Amino acid sequence: MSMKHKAGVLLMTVGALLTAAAHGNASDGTLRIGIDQFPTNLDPGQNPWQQQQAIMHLIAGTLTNQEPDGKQVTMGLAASIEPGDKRFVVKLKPDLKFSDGSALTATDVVASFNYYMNDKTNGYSYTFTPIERVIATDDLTVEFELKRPYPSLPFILALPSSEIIPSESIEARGSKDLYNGDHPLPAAGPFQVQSFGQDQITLQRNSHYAGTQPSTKTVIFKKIIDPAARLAQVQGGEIDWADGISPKQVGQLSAPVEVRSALAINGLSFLSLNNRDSSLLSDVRIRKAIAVAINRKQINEVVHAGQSQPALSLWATASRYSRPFLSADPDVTRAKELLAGTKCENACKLKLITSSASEAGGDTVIVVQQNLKAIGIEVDIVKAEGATINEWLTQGNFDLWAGGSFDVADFPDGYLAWTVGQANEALYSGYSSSEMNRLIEQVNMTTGSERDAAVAALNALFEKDLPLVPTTNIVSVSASRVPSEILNISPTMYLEVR
Amino acid sequence: MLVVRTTFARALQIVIVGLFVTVGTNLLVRLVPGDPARAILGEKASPEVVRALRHELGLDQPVIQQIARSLGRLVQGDLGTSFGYRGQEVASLIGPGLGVTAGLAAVAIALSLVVGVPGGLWLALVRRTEADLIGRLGTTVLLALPSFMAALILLYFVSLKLGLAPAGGWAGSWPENARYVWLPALALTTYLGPLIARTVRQAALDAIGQPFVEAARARGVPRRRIVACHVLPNALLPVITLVGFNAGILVSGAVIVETVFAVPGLGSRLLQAMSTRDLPVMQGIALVTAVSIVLFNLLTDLLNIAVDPRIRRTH
Amino acid sequence: MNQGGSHVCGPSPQGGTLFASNVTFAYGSGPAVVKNVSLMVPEGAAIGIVGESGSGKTTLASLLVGLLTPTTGNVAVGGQPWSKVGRGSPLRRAVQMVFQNPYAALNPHLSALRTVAEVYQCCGGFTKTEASERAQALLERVGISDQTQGKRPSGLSGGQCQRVGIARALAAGPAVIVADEPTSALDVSVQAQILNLLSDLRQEQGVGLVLVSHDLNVVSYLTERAIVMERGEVVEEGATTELLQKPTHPYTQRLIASIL
Ligand SMILES: Nc1ncnc2c1ncn2[C@@H]1O[C@H](COP(=O)(O)OP(=O)(O)OP(=O)(O)O)[C@@H](O)[C@H]1O
Ligand SMILES: [Mg+2]
Repeated sequence: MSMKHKAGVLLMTVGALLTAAAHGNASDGTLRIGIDQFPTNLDPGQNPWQQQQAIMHLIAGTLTNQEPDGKQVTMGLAASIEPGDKRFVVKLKPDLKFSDGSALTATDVVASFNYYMNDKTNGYSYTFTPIERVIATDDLTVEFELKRPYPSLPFILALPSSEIIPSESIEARGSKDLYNGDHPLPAAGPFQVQSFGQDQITLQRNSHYAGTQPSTKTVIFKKIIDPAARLAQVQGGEIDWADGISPKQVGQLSAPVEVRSALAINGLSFLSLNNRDSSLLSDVRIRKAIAVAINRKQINEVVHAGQSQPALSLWATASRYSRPFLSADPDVTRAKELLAGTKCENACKLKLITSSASEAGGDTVIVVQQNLKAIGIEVDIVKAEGATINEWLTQGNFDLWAGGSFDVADFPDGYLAWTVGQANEALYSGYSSSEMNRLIEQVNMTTGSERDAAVAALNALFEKDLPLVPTTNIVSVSASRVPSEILNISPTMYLEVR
Repeated sequence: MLVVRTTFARALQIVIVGLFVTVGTNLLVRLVPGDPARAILGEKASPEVVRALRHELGLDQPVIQQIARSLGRLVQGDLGTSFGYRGQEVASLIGPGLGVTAGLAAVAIALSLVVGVPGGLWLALVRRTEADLIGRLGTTVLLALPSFMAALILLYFVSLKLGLAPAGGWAGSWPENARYVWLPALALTTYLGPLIARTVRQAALDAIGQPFVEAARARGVPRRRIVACHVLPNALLPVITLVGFNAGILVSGAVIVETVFAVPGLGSRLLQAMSTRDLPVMQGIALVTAVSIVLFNLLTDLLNIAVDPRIRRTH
Repeated sequence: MNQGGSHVCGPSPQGGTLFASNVTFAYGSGPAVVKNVSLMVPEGAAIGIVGESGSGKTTLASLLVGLLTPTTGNVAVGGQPWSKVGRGSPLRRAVQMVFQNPYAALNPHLSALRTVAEVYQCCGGFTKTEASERAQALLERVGISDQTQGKRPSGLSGGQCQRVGIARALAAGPAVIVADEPTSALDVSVQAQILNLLSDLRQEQGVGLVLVSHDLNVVSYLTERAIVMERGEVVEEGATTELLQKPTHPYTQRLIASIL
C-alpha cells in the first residue's frame, strides 16, 4: 500500500466515524427546527416577533385554539364561549390540568388576565384594552366584561399572549422572575419547556394537554442565524426544518428536503408612504401614481421567486375582507396622467428606506426604483439596520419604506391599527384621518352584515386616500425533510406540529 | 523582573481597555438609533408600553449617569443584567459562549500549528524549487480568502457533498463537540495556517543560513537532526508572537465562521445582542473579548520570555 | 588534557592534509569570487589567508571546509575530494570551522556544555554522560569555567562564545581548523587571548590551522606561511615574516600600509 493510499483510507475511516453518530431523528418522535430568532424569556407579551410567537404558540395553553387556516378558532381550554355585546361567558372544560398535574380552574384564568391587563410593559396591551374586567363566577365559568363590543375576542383568546398560567405562580414569583426561562412555568399547551437556552430550546409533549396529543414527543429549536447555514443543515440532516429560507434558494433543495410555504392570511408587504407634510407624498395624486406604476408581478417574480401573489387591495388575497382594486401590471400612462400638475410632474426625488437585514426588502427596492424611473421619479435607496429604520419611520425621516405588517388570523383590529389606524399614524406613515378612524372603530365593533358594510366603506376610503401601496402577499418559505402532516407552516405563520 | 514588568504593563492595559470599552459601547449604542425597549416589544407595542419598559431598563436616565453606573458595577466585577434575558446576569449569559469560542479558537490554533509548522519547514527545505513556488502561491491565495468564503466552501464540499462533517451545530460537551468543531476550525485554519507556514519558512531559511547550522553540516550531522535540533527550535520562536498578535483577528474570524456553522459562541451571542440592542450583553462581550485578547497577549509575552534564549534575563 | 594529538572521532586516514587545486567558485550565475586558487595545508601546519574585505576569503574558507563545492577544480581532504566524502564519514570532520561572528556561530537554544557535548555524542559515539564529561573538560581547557558552562549564548560574552566555538570545532577531532576572522568581532583586549588560545591548542594537539584575516600582523603571529588574495585571486604567497617585511606585490604593500 502506497503512502498516499494509506492516507486516503485513513481519511475515509475518520470521516465515516465522524458521520456515523450524526443521524438520529424524526422517526423517534423528535423534530429539530432551525430558526433565526429565539424568545429571550417565556413572556409572550415581550416576544412579539414571528419566530418567537411560533415557539410560544406551542407552549401556550389558551381558552380558544387558532385553526391553521387563520379564519376561525375552535375551543381550547374552554368548552364553550357564549358571545355577547359587552359580555362573553366562557365555560372551561372539566378536569383541566397544567403540565405539572395541578388543576387549572377559573381562578387561574382570572389571575392570568389580571396580570396581563396590569402589566405596563406588555407589548400586547392593545389586545386587552377593550376588556373591563375578568371574573370567575364558579370554578368552571369565567366572564369577560367589556368596555365596548369586541367581536374579535375569541381570536384574541387564542393568542400566546393570552395563555393561561397558574395563579399560584403569579403570586409566588415576582413579575421579574415569572417568565425566567431557567425555571419555566407549568404550561397548559400541547408542549412544555424542558430546557431553555440561548441556542437551543427543547420542548416536551405535555401529557396533561386537554386537546389532541401530538405524535411528536420532542421539539428541539436550534438558533441558526444565517439562512444559508439553516439550509445547509437541513440538507445535511442536522435539522428537520429550516425556517425562513430565501425563496431563491428553493431550487437548491434536493430530496428528501422539500419546500414548504404559506401566504399569510392577514397581512401584506407594502410600500409605506410618508403622508406627513414634510414629504412630497403628502400629495395623494403622487401616492396613486406610485401605486399604478408598481409592477407587482415583477416584484413577486424577482423578490419571492413567484412563491407569493400580487397584492391588489388593503387585505391579503385570502382574507375575507379583500376587495381588489389595483392591477398586477403597471400602467405608466395612467401614472403619468396622475402626476400631471404635481411636484413630480417633470421629475422628483424620493428617499426609499429598507432594512439591511431583509433580503426581500433589498430586492423590492431595486424593482421599485426601476418602476418609478419609468414615470420620472428618481429613487434614492437608503439601507439601515432594523432598529434605525424604526427610528426614521417614527421621525418621518423618509418618503417610502419597503415594509409590511401581518397578524396571525383574519381579524381586523390590530392589522387596521398598524396599516391605516392610529398606531400607523404614530409609528409609520403619519396618515391621519378621523373618517378612517371612525370606520375602523365600526369594523372592530360590529359583526355580520353591519361589519361587511363598514369594511366596504373602509375599503373605499382606503382606495381614495391610499396612505400606503400594497405590493405582494406575505409569504414564508421553509425547507423541510419531514412530512407536512407532522410539521408545517400555516397561513397563521405559526408552525403546526402534530 | 521582566515577568513582573510585562504583567504589570498588560494589567494596566486591561484597565484602560475596560474603561474605553464601557464608555465607548455606552455612547455608541446611543448614537446609533434604535431603542432596546422597542426591539424587545416589537413594532406593534404602543408608545406608553415602550416608555414604561424604557423606565424599567433605566434607559430614561442621563447617559453620564448610566455610564457611571456601568463603571461602578464593573469595578465590583459585575457586568450587569441583560435587557432581553430579563433578570439574568450578563456573565452567566456570555460565559458559555466564551468557552465555545475559546474552544474553537484553540482547536483552530492547534490545527494551524499542525499544518503550518511542518508545511513551512518543508517549504524552507525545498526552497527555490517549483514546490516552494507553488506552496507559497497557495499560501498567498489562502490568505486572501475571507474566512466566511472559506467557511462556505468547506461547508458545501466537505459537509454537503462529501458528508464528512455535520453541516453545523454544536454538541454542547467535550469530547462530543469534536465532531462539530473541526470544520469551523479548519475554516479559521485557512487563514492562520498559511500565515504560520510563511513565518516558519522565513525563520527556517534564516536559521539555515546561520553559521551554527553550517558548523553542524561541517561536522556531518545528519540532515534530519540538523532540522530537528538547530533549525526547528529557532523557526518556532516567531510563531509564538505571530499567534499572539493574531488573537484579535482570530476572534473576529471566529465570529463570522460561527454564524456559518451555527456554533453557539460569542459571535452568535453578539449578533443576537446587537439585533435586540441588548446593551449590557454587547458591553459584556466587547469587554470580555478585549480582556481575553490582552490576557492572550500576556500569555505569549510570558511564553516568549520563557523560551526565547535571546531575551536576556536579569539574574 | 591527555588527548594529545589523537582524534576524538577516530583518526583521519592519510593524515590531515588539506589540498585545494585550481579552485574557482562563483555564487550562482554571478562572477567568480574565487579564481584558480591552489593551497596546501600539510599536517599540523598553519597557513594564513589575507586580503581586503570582499576579496573572497570567507568563500575560500567555506570551500576548504566543504560547505561550498568548487565550480571548477577541487578540494581534497586526506586525498579524498569533498564530493566523495559522505556525511557520516570520519573524514567529514577532519576540517572544522571557527566563525567570524561568535554569537551567530552558536545555536541560541543550547548551553555551552550542550553545544560541545552534542558533538561528542553525535559524531564521537559517546554516551550522554561521557560526552558531557569530555565537554566539561574541553570547555575548561578553552577557559570556560564550570559556572559558565550551563549558560546559553545570550548569557556569554563575545570572547566566551568564541571559546565555545573553538571547543566545538576541537571536539569533532579535526586535523585542520579553519578560523575565519575569529577575532574581528571581539574587543582588542580579548583578541590576544583568543589568538593565544588558538596558538596553544595548535601546539598542544597538533592540529593544522588555516587563519583567515585582513590583518597581516595577526596572521604573522600565528602562521608560518600565508597567501594574499585580491578579488578572488592569489597575488602573492610566501613566509609570513617575509610578506610582512618585504612585500613585493603593490596590493600587499597597501594592505600592510592600511593596517600600520
Ligand atoms: N552567499 C553569497 N551569494 C552571492 N555572493 C556572495 C555571497 N557571499 C559572498 N558573496 C560575494 O562574494 C565576494 C566575496 O565575499 P567573501 O565573503 O568571500 O569576502 P571576504 O573576503 O570574506 O570579505 P570580508 O572581509 O568582508 O568578510 C563578495 O563580492 C561578496 O559580495
Ligand atoms: Mg569574510
